[in-house]
Amino acid sequence: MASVELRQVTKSYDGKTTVIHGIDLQISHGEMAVFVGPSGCGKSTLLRMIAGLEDISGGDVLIDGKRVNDVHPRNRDIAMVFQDYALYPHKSLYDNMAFGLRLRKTPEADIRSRVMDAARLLRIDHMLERKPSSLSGGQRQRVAIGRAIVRQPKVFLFDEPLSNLDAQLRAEMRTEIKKLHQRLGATIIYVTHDQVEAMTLADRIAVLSAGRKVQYATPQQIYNTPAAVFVAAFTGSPPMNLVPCRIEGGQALLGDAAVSLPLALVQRAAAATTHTFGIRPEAIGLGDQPGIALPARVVITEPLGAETLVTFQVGDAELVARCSAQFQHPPGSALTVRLAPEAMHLFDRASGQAL
Amino acid sequence: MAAAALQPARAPAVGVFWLFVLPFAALTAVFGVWPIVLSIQTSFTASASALKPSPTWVGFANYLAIFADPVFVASLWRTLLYTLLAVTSTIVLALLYALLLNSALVGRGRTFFKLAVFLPVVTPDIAGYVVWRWLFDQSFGALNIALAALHLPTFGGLASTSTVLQAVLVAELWHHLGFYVVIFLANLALCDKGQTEAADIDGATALQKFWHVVLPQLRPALLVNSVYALIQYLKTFTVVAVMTKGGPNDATNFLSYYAYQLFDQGRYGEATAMASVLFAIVIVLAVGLMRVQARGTGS
Repeated sequence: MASVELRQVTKSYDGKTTVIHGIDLQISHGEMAVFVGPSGCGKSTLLRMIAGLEDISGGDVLIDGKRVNDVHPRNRDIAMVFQDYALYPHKSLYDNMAFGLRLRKTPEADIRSRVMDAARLLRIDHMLERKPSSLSGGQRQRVAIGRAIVRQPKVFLFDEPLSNLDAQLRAEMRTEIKKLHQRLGATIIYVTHDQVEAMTLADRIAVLSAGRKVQYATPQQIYNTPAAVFVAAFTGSPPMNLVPCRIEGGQALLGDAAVSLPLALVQRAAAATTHTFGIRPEAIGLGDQPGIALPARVVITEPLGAETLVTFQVGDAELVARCSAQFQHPPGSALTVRLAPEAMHLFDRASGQAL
Repeated sequence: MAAAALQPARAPAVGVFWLFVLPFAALTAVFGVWPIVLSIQTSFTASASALKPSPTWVGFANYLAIFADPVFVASLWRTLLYTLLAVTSTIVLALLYALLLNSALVGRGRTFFKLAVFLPVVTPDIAGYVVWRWLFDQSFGALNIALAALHLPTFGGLASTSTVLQAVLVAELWHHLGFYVVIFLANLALCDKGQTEAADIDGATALQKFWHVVLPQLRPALLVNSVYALIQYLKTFTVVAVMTKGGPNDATNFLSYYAYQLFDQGRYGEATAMASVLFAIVIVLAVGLMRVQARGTGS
């Protein structure tokens, strides 16, 4: 177990194209940090820089307080699980897992016990003599994780490990990885483009966009107090309702619908000239629930079994609400919706930052 | 219903398949298989009547005769030894050259070095070997002039039985190496970079990465190159015909060249018997090598 620290880490190619712009991050002992963002945001590059597979153009990477910029990957005491598994196809599963230990001249008895322990943990102990080519995607991923576990490294790095698996297997492996983290108590840095994976696994999430850190916080903070429109739109399914609005007299005007804002939000609104109003789907209630009442019309309903997503027309805006499965009103029905004031957000429309 | 629906779509595809395959199958049969069959047939006939419409059949007499011929037996061993030496040198040097070209050590000069090794492949072999013969000439060759200028001992070259095999091998390597390098380069380009990175993190040194990660991935190229080189060097002929005429003192009298000499003397039965023996050796060794390599890949 170790801590990892990034100080103003920059990556540029040929000194011209900068893909990582001065990122600061602190990952504590035993913490699971998830780097999340869309394709091309630089999350994998950042992970590969921590691994030592990419040069660092500027700033410092520290593992356990020691600067490792110029340390070869083999001497960083890290283990990595790759997106495409990167197993050695000509070696048996046992030899795949034992390879790193053999290179480090670990005694064979020790190797055996470590490999068997990891294999039992990952439920692959009955197939250790097989070659990777005879395994399914999920089994290969278990071997790749096993290869990392047996090394008992200071830091585990996971580079989109589940993205090649089908949806059901992905959900299963996600749970397995979470259990594994709880059991090993290891420091893990995990890269994904899937916000559900990030929310479910992380102790802390770093949301990245275009090579910049947008927010680094706990999943709850990311969800409840997004630092920017990008974060609000990236997290949650469906994501936060985000509507351009005007602020007048302590109210957010969504066309002819006026939403009374909490005093604190009204004060912060002064920091920007144009605004975006935001509210999560579950913060929009119906009928006699508490909240700011607004007239609305049902546009479309999407029953999901346990709940129903309802799109309401409120003023000029369409807002998606998470309603109960018993919601029965047909499209066109006029209703009163209630917006929870404590769940309202305002963003600077120009910069995208939260106010 | 589904099968009936498939039928019209499949029929033209099968037709097109045969349209493409048949001309080449016919050419292979006429110019490839038929001469081999004729050659094997001739090896069972008396040389004097071999080219007549009704030759005299002599059974295995020609085979018994060649195996009783000490020049043939020596030539057979010489050919096998030379092949072993040449295949090993070709594979090792081509692999090293390809690895070097594929590494970061060679920067901007990569295209130049690729061209340098491949140009001899497209150069007419006879022209190349004539130049090499001159380079190795005892008295006027550039190599010995250069060695003398540097006050180094001169190289026996094509004139000495102890150096002629090396000289012939150098000329052949110069001519053929580029082909094998290209095959290795193509395979190297297909190697999984992720495995090398995983080995980096697992703690492997450069040599360990090559041995445990890169080399196993080069199995396809190793197989193709070794089988091709084996066939090529077992049949070594042009270099001998141009540079040494089998000499000095039979030191480069390989099987193909000896068979050719006998054929030239009208000893068709024995010459084709030698060719058939060579053909059998090529088939057995090539198939054996492919089996060994395929077992390594499949297990």
